[in-house]
Amino acid sequence: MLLNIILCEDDKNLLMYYRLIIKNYIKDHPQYDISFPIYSQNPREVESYLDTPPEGINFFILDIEFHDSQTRGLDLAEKIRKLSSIDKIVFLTSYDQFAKMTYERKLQSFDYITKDIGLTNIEKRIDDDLNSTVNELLENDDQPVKFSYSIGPREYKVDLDDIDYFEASDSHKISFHTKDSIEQFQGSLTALESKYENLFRVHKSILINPNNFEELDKHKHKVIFKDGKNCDISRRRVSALIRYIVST
Amino acid sequence: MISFSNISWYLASATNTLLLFMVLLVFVPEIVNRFNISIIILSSILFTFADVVKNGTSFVLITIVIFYMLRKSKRKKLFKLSIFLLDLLITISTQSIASYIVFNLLKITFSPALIESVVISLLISLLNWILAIGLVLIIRYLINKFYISDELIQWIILLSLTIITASYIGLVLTSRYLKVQLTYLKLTTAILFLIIAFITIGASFFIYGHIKKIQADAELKTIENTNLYIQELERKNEDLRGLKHDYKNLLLSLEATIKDDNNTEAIKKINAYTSTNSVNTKIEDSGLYSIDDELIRGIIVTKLVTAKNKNIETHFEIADSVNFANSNSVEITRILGILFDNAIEATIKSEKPILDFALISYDDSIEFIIKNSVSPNQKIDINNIYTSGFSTKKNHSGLGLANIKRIVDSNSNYYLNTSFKNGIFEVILTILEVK
Repeated sequence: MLLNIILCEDDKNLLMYYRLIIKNYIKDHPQYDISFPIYSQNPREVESYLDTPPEGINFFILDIEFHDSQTRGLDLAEKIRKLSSIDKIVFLTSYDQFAKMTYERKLQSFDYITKDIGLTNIEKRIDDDLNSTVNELLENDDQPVKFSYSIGPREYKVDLDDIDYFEASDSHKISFHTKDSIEQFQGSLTALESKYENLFRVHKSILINPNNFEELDKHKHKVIFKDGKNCDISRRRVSALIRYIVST
Repeated sequence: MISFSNISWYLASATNTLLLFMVLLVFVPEIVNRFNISIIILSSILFTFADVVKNGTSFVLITIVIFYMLRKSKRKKLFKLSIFLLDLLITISTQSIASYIVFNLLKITFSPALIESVVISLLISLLNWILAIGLVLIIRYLINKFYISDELIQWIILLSLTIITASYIGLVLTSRYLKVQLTYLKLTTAILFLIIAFITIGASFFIYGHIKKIQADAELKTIENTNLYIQELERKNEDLRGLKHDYKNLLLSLEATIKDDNNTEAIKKINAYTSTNSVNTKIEDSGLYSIDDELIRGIIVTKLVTAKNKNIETHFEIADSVNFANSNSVEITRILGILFDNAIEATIKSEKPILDFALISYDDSIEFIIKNSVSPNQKIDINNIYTSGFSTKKNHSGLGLANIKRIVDSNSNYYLNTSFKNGIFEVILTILEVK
């Protein structure tokens, strides 16, 4: 695992201060492989870094407005997101017209730190963000299977094992159910079934993830999952499911 | 020798003329003065004899006197003309009614030679006055209550009055000319009322319609002004925000500089200052007025106001230039209405009520995000949330969310994403552009 931190802030004093925070973090965590290739007042330097990105996951800390530049932090972030869906982007800014929800959704930005919270709190937030990124990267070393789905041309990813079951809403729409969400996307159950062989059909409109299977309620014809959620199962599929579960 | 019938005729004529002037004075009180009163009394007596010389002269003379008196009033010509016609109409019609009552209802016969004729004449005049005063009081009350300054409507009233008066005078003169005045008195009166009724109804409808139009125009004007005002406010907000941004940066940069010198006292002071509300007051810029679909804008503005009135902390983000061209705004408005209502209802029960909304625009789709905080002891079974009959509220049918599901299911380009994490309930509605 390699983490590259890139910092861009147009105020020189603040840039130096943030640089110190990151240097301290790296010094305090010698067990991780972290590099700090760029800290700059000029967003152009970040752009040219993106042209030849080195190996590893990038962690960007960006201001949103740069005084002497046409480039905005948001443009930069869009470019980053186009190149990679896993890089982390943290906005650090006093620009309070920032549409937080919009960019969280559009750019899947990792965090948005406002400068009003004061330097001490800023330091804490940067530390927290770096910690959770590092932890996520360590976990991801186990390589969990990702399930990717799309709404229109946009693609989203989720760990397959977070999903309890898939349910077809109509011929072109499927929703998947996790512990705390239901999401709809374009697709068909048949296509899913052939792409993810592990999934098991319990109903003409339902595919379950057997990894999250907990028990079967034969009376009510329900499959119950580890997190307590449940879905219907058709009578004809009960014995097949039991056989499938026993065999694995 | 002067016969009784002549005396009665003179009496009736004089009282009539006087009545004509009096009615005028009631409607135009500002012309009442000693000089005018003298003119009125004099003319009432003198003009009666003018008709002896040549029939009809008195009418011309009265008209001249009336407009002579009215010349000093500052009212519009339109008003003066209408009042003159109204005056004529009232006095002539009450005269007809009075005669009708005396001759037909009381069955009194008219014999020109007797002194009775003078009494009858006086009786008719008295009735005439009573009726006229009653009518004038009613009309004055109506004018005061429904006075309309719109010129078009005043013209319509004038026109109606002209038609009514002219047709009535025409009727009376014709019957007089044919010497059938008494015989057809009943008929003339009936025709008069029919005409009045038709014209009044017609004019009323027209006036009603026109008033509606005026009101609509006024409302539009108000909306226009409000929008201008809001734009101005948003522009001012923008300026303020820019200023605040520079200011905050400066302070923070200063803090970083001083930190190098280890001047802890100064750092503390700046820190205390940057975290006070005076710098951190949120300047809300919703950009709500850039939404060009009025239904959708309407529902968002309404619910934002509702949330603010309930002291819910709101954060609204609206993308510029969202294209709603092919969207079904009625359906979207219904979905948003239900989602907002649920969110507001749920969040006011939480310790810190928060309602966040975002309208995001992509090249080929739009997205609505509605987020709200939920009370920690509130359990939401996300599994069944869209099932009909399910509700987190007691005594509630839960039809709202089931309706949303129905709408989303019947549109293959609508996608719904629902989640409940860390005490935040969030719904994202994505609408793809239909190609």
